[in-house]
Amino acid sequence: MLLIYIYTPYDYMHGILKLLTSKDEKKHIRDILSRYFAREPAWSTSGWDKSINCTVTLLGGEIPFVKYLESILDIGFHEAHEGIDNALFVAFKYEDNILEVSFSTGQDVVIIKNPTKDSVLPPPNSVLFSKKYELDISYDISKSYPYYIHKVSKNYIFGTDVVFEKTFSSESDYTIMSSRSQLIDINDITILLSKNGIFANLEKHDRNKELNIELYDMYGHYVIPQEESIKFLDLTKIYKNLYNLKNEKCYDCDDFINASDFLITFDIKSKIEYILYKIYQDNYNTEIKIHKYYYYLDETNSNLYVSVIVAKNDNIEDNTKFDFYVFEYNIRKKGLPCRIVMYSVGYDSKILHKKSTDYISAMRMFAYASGNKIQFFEILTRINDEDQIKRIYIHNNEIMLINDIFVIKAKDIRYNRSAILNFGSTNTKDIYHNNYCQVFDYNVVSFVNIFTDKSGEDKRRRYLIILSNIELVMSMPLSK
Amino acid sequence: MLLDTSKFYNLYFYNVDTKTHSTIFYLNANTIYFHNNKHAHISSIIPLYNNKNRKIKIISAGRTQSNIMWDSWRCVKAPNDNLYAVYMKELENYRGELVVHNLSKNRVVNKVEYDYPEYLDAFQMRRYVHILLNSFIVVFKIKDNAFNLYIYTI
Repeated sequence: MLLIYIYTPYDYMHGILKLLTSKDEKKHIRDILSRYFAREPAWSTSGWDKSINCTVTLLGGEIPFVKYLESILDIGFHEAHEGIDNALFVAFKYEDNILEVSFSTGQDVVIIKNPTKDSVLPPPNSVLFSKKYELDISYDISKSYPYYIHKVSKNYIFGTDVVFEKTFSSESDYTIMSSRSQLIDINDITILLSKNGIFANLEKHDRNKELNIELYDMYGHYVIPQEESIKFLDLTKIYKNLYNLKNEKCYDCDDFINASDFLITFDIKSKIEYILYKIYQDNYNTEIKIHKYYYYLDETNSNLYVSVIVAKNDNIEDNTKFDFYVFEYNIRKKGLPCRIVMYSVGYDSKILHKKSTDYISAMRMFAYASGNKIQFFEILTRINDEDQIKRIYIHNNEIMLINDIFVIKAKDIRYNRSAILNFGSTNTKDIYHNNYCQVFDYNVVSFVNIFTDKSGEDKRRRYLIILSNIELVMSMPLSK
Repeated sequence: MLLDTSKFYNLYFYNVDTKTHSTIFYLNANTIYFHNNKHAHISSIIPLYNNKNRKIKIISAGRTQSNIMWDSWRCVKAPNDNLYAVYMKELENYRGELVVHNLSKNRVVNKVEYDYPEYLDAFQMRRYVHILLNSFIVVFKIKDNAFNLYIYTI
């Protein structure tokens, strides 16, 4: 069965005319209708959040279905009137086996006639048109299943892009809480990021157990330059909180709890400025300026490494000097001072992108001092070029992957060893342009190489590496 | 080799295409699931996620139904036990076609054409397509001065 309704602003104004009692207001609407003969205005809608209301309910506590839907339409500007917000509500309501379709006036609708600016106030929520359909036995919802609902929990229902929250008025009704929300699985915790807040849930089914992530970096898994403040979720605390609640039996696995309290906002710029103030407070004649800074979060132990290049101008020589620092700070141990893990001098502004001898020496010293932190050494050697940083991915502080030109370098951080995989062009005439890596779901790293081949055609090659723990299930002797 | 990635719910789907072979795979609970099909392409598949058993089933919409806008589909098993999908198909010249497809019978039930580029956005499209009582597909279409409302019984 197909039902079609077509409704125009002309129909709408006619409907309004019937609802009004004031002679003046009726005259204004008739004036508007007379000018609709030349051209009618267009319907429009606002964004998803403002134009759609929807209630999902659970049948027998199990099967979700939409029982109420409302779409709100505006009427655009017309020479006969100004634009009309919330003009029409189109609603579908299911009750007692009857589906009602209704068109009604919105709330606080104001129709302003042009050019006189006389206003008409239609009665709110007044039905302009309605039709009821009695549903027969063939509409047995208990036999249905909506695959666009991805998760049903005690307080929330997750649909594609939309989260519904349980209402106070009914045990089984849920209304739209947020659209464009995002679900992220990290270890066995599911994080819901929505504009209404951050929520967490301890999944029944474990996932990525080999990952050892304490903090979740809200900005991604890369080294990031020049953010004034950075945000992390404290997964360890979330896990402990959920685990305790579960043991106290006041938490069901399917529930989401508000995790906003576990969001750490770290004002990185202020921290750097404070440290530099302490370092340079006695250098009265030197002008200090932060030239650049980068940070890298070791998500497995919550250590934040910040690399800062400081421009120094002593107003004597016309040549800016640069100092190079690396600070280490544990995000979860507030109040502890920042540790300077490296300091170097010897940058020259005229050869900024070339490392001076002093710089290299300092780097080597740092690498020697920091033991197996080869991943950090690798990052530091590349910080002069932001594109270089996009080539690096560090997995669980164990494996470091670097997308070099047509080569993947894999470094085993734990055992301090490395391997090189040649995957790209063997043609020396290929002109390399750019390469980077993308990370999906912590496990999948996609390497992208952009180059021009000998025929002059621009090409893009992608290579995948999936990181996974391999367990030997059964050993088999090899036959000769 | 070409690689497409698309996110569905909280999972990434990966479509790997070579000149001779293609596959779609995804990772769930630290396991890789492959969907092997000679003609597999991400623009013709519809993933179904069953929230009860957390399993994903990949359904091909058929060779003629390619160019399906990723994430535009919504699927429902109707009370008549048939599986329906409603999705947006991209046409030429920035036009789109909303398709109501009975996947169980592999039959297109109806189509509504949209000729505005704004409809070619999976998220925006959600304003215009809704499934009521798991039994009706409600489609809105606004063109100039007419608000068109289509209600399909499935």
